[in-house]
Order: sequence, then structure tokens, then C-alpha cells
Amino acid sequence: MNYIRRKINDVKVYDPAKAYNGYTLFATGFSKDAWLINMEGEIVHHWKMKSMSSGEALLLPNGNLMWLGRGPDALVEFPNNGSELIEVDWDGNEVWKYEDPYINHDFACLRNGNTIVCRYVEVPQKIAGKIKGGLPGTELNGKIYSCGFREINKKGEIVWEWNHYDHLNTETDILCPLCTREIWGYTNAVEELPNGNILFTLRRLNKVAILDKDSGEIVWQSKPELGLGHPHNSTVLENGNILLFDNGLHRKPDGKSIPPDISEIEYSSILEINPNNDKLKWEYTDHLGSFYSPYCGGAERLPNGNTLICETIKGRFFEVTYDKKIVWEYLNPFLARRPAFWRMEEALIAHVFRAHRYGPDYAGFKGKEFDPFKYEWIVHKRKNKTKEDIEEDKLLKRLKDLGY
Amino acid sequence: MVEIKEKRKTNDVKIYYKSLAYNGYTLFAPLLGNRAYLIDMLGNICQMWEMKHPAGPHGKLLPSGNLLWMGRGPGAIEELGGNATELVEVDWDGNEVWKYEDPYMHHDFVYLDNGNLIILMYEEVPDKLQSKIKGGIPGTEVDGKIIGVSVREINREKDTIWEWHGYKHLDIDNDIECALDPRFVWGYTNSLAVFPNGDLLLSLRQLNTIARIDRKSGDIIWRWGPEHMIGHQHCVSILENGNILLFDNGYHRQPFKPSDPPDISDLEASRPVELNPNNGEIVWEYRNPDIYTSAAGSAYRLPNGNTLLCESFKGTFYEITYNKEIAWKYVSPFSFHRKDIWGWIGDNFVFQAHRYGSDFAGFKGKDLDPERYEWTIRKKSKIEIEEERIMDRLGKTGY
Repeated sequence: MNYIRRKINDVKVYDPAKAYNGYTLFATGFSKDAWLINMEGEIVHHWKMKSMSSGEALLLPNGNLMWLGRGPDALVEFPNNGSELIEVDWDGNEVWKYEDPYINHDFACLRNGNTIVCRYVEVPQKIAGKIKGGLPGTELNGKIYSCGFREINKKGEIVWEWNHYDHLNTETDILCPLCTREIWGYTNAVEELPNGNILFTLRRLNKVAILDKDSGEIVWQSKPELGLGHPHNSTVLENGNILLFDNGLHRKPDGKSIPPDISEIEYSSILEINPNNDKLKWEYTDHLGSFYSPYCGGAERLPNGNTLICETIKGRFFEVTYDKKIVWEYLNPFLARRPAFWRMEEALIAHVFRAHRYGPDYAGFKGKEFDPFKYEWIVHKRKNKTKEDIEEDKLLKRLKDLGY
Repeated sequence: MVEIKEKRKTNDVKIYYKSLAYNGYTLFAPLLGNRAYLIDMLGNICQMWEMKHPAGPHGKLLPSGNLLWMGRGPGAIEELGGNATELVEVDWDGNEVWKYEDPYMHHDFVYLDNGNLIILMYEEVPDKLQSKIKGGIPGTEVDGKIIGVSVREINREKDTIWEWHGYKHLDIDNDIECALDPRFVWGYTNSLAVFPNGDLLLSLRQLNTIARIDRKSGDIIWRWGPEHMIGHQHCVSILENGNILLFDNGYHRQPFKPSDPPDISDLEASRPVELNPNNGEIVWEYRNPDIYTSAAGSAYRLPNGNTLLCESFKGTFYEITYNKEIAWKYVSPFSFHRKDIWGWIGDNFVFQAHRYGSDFAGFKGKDLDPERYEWTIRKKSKIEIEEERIMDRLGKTGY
């Protein structure tokens, strides 16, 4: 094991009085490690997985970890493609597994105990031929794929299936003109609503939608006027509003801002939308694009009204209050070596798909041991502390004492 | 009503490795501010010019030590990006030496050894071409019209001695504006450089292309661009080794096949790119996911091989060594809020940053004493003094 830590001081901001105190779960993309840290950034639990993180990792109410992993069977052609969904217990023992080379990004654990996975599905040629938009000639070997959902039970049996291409409209669901044509729609988030409907994103169509699971019809979709730019991580809140991470990539300029090149600020924002009238209820954004992740990204409303935001590309998670003050901020120190694939070179990355916060009273923590000292060795793995490290620690402590 | 806010912090230099950096002075002009600042490596203001009109894009130092300033006076055309109305030359003390006015100039200029200037301009595109221009978001023309770009060379007497009209040389069928850009300018150009033989190099932002213009015929004789997945680049320059350096913003980068990774790669950030024009290959680049500015931005190669970057929207400058270490990092503490222009809350936006070595001819005999600008620094609190002392010690231990 070779952990590469980029900084010693991972927690940049922490206001214990205003933060939703608890434990944060995350995994660096392309790593095989899931980390659970406390508010001080100390590791309180760690899972070593067999496959690389390829999207969502969740802690279940029974304390098990559900992991979307990229094993050797994953198809390299597709973004965020995984090959297995695996549940392990607190000690890392495999409890359940579903293998499928077409799964990707996200999954939803249903109240009935089943799981919905997102999959890539080939669009039949007679529909594919009518799909509009995107960059000409960028189909995948002449084929277009869309996404589909598959509900599987604990035995691994398929109990329900729904394919986007049957329900999207070739006349109105036009791909973003700057995206490739190999995926129509593109779903990176799926969630079960209290009434059993399914909320999901359509990244390359710049919208989020709800489908009625019984009828199979799309019963709601966000309006283009919202001006989304390739959104992620839509979730439903207790008040019925929808929270999402609007990446801002390829956001269509409104044409009203002047001058155009200055209005072309690409920035991400967290939006809370009332689905009944498409009105914006709450928004978080940082000025002039300093908060920006063109792809992936997480937003999670916490029980005290705060929002935990994951800025994927920088491996930065931060918690903001409802009045938009940052009360906790953390930089993922565990860089992962991403192998070379697609056109990408091998690189050290800090990317985190999503971060999740669990309160100390979370059911899954019952009876579990939290001992940061157990993981001290990881912190020291990087190198033995040198004189300079010790000197630095002392100075940093003084800085902290001074209020920095 | 003009509202100008300026703040001055004490710790603007975030990183400084003296042995790695190309030590000298950095010139920059916060957008829409009336001031040009020249700072040393520690962030001290060593010279400041108070100009009559705010910076449109930027200013550059001439070998004489005079400042050539592209300013945005009254009459600027709101709808057009990077627009300015005058080029003003002022001496070290701010006295006006020379001035050229034209409300159609924009973005960039090059000062030639013979004293002539090459300037980017906007111009009208003939009506018969208007409807044939392809690309962009329909209906986003300015009053139904698309503007064109031109390049003008003037001499010291302000006579136009050479002109290039973009619409005559761009290809109406193939030079298609980016699909997610407004249709307001065809061939939107934001930077220019001059080859040793006099040919011009232009950065055509919305075509994701840089182009070499033959000085005699005006023809585009060489292009490099979209197929290398650059996105709305800025700041082209020609290096001593014949290579070309540019600032690739990464905005609206286009993939060409499904296996291109715009969704998921580090490419969705800005990067300086050095390319060999003979074979089109990228010979050097610097990627850092923290650096991203969708518009503006600059990259200049320094004499010791380092590259000075300006991350415009964050007002942050990085000096990167050829081995990709950060030798110097500075965050501009100056904010100019101008509600009278575009309703602009620009914060610390800086269009470009320029570095001049300590031995730069223009500094000879000039007063560079930072004491003169002590008044711009607010008094430090006790805790800040203590912090500085600690930071200083941290710096010495290598952090």
C-alpha cells in the first residue's frame, strides 16, 4: 500500500458550533480505499476494496459499505463505468455482489431492499438514426447508447427494467452541441422518491427528470429556462424540493449579459429547486468561478440545514450553512494513481465523486469502534517524520493558536 | 456613479522560491481599474501609474520605461469583448507622451522596434456575408449584425500603413463559430504576435484556432487548433526556439471522437501549451486542476525558461518552471468595483501579467522604491505581524 498524502493540514475550516458534526465517507476515484474521517480529519475507519472506485460509495444503515467498483471487466469506452456493485461489512467481508460491465456512476438502494443500477444500453438503430445534436461523427463505432435502470433483488434477479431511449423524445431531447453523440441522455444520479418515483439526471440534455415507476412515464422534467450546465447528484429534500449540483459546463449563455466574453464565466452552483413551479429556492455559488467542477460533484443537505458540497476535480469538500458560510472545509489528501486510459495519461488525482456525512447517531455506527489511533500508521506511512515535519507541526500549532 | 474599492493585504505572495524564479518586476492592471502596478517578487508596489481611463485589457512597458496603456474611455462599445478606445503612452511619471484613439480597438497590440504599432480592431462585415456566417447561438447578433475583426499597423504619425480584414481571409464555409457562443463576432480575436519575418499570429478564440497570416497576401498560411482540443485560447507568443506558446483556457473544448475525454479529464482546466509549428505537436504543457479561467488569461515564457501565468478570474499569477514546479504565486489584492461599466463587480480580475527582469533597459535610472507606496498598505495588526514572523520561519523550513 502506498498512500500519497498531499498535505498534512487537511481540515482548512472547522466551526464546531455551526457544522453538522459527524463522520464523512469518501473514496478517491480509481483508488481501492474508502475512508471515514471525523471532523478533525482523522481517519476513524478504512475499507480496502478489491476494485477501483468508479462512482458512488455509500454507508448503509446496517453499517455495511455499498461500493461501485471498476474491476478488470469494465468497458473502457464509457465514462465512469464500473463492473461490480459490492456490499461489504464493517470489516470488509463481502456480503453481496452484482456484476455487470455496463453499470456506471450511481445506484439507489430502495426501501424494499432491492437496488436500482444505472447502465449503458445500446439504442436501436431506428431510434438512433433520429437523435439530434452533439458533435457530428462522434458516435461510438457508429452506435449510440443511452442509459437504463435495472432493479435487482438480493438474489441478483432482475425485477424491473426501464430504458431511456423508449421515453426520450428525438425531436425535443437534443444533445448539447459540444458533447459527443455516443450517449443520449447520460444519467449520473438516480434516487427513489418517497412515493416510489425515480429522480434522475440527464446530463447532456441539461435537465433532471422524474419517472413514475408504475407507468414508466416521465412525469416531470426541469425546464430549459433553469439554464443548467450538465448537472449531477439530484436528490429530493424533506420539503419536496430538489437539490442538485449544477456543474456549469457548457452552460448556454443567456445572450443578455454583456460583454459576452466576460459573462462566459464557467462556475458550478448548488441549486435547490421547487419542482412544482421550477423556482429557485436556494443557491450556493462562489464568485468568479472559484468553485468549479466541470464533471461529477456532490451536494448533500444535512439534517441541520447545512449542505455538504464535494468539488470533485479538486478533491475538496466543504460544508456551508443555509446562509452560505463555510463552516467546514477539507482537502482530500489521498491521491490516487489513475492509470492511463482513453487519451488520458497516468496521473495522480484527488478526485472524489461524492462525499457523505453521517451523524454520530447514524444507525450503521451502532456498536462500531472508532479509534483514530488505529490508523495513525497511514498518516506516517508517507515518511517518517523528519526534523522539518516536527518543526512544521509546532509552527502550525502556533498559527492555529493565533486563530489561523 | 463610480465605485472603486481597493484592498491591500499583506500576504499577497503565496509562494516564492528565489532560486527557481526569474526575479524581476511584474506589471499588471486590474480590469477596469485606473491603475497599473509594478510589483517586485515580494509583492511590494515599486511603481504605480494613475491613468485617466481604466484598463480595457492591459498595458505593456516599452524599452524606454514608458507605459503603453490600452484604455477604455467614453465611447467604448459595450457589447464587444475586450473593447478599448485609446492607446496612451505615458512616461515614468505618468505624463502623456503619445496617444492614438479609435473606439474599435480591442484586446491586444504589439510595439515594433521601429516604433510602429500593430493593433487588433473590430470592423463591420459586409451585408452580403452576414447571412452566410455559420455557427453560434441563433439570434444573438448585436442589433442583428455580426462584427468582424481586423488588424491595423500604424506608425508614430498615426498613419495606417497596413491593414488586414478578417472577413476577406476567413473561410465562410469552414470557419464556423463555436455552437455555444453568441453570434456577435466572426473570428473573435484576442491576441496577436509577430513572427521575425513580419507575419502575424492570431488567436481566434471562438474558432479554437490560432492562425499565421502572410504579411504580403494576407492569406492564412498555417493553422493549429480544434483537433488538439484547445478551448477558447488566449495569449499567443512566438518563442526564441520558433515554438509557439499559448494560454489554453479549456472553455468549450470540443472532443472529436467518443474516446476523447473532455468529460472526465484534467483537460477541463486551463493550461499553457508550447507547440512546435512544424509538426503541430505539443512539446510542453502544464496541467493543474486548480488553474481555470474560462476567459482571458496569459502565459509568457521568461528568459530562464519559466512561464508566467495569469489566471484572470482569480487575479492569481503563477510562475512555473520548465520542470513544472511553482516558483512564485501571487494573488492580486486589488479590487475595482465599477457599477457604471457592465454593472461589473470585477473583484480582482486581471487580464494579463507581464514580467520584466531587474536588468530590463526601461528600469535604468528609474525610481523603484516601494517606500513611495507604503501609504497603500493599511497598518498591520499585532496578530498579522506575529503571523508574518511565523510564515517567514515556515518559508525557511521549506514550506
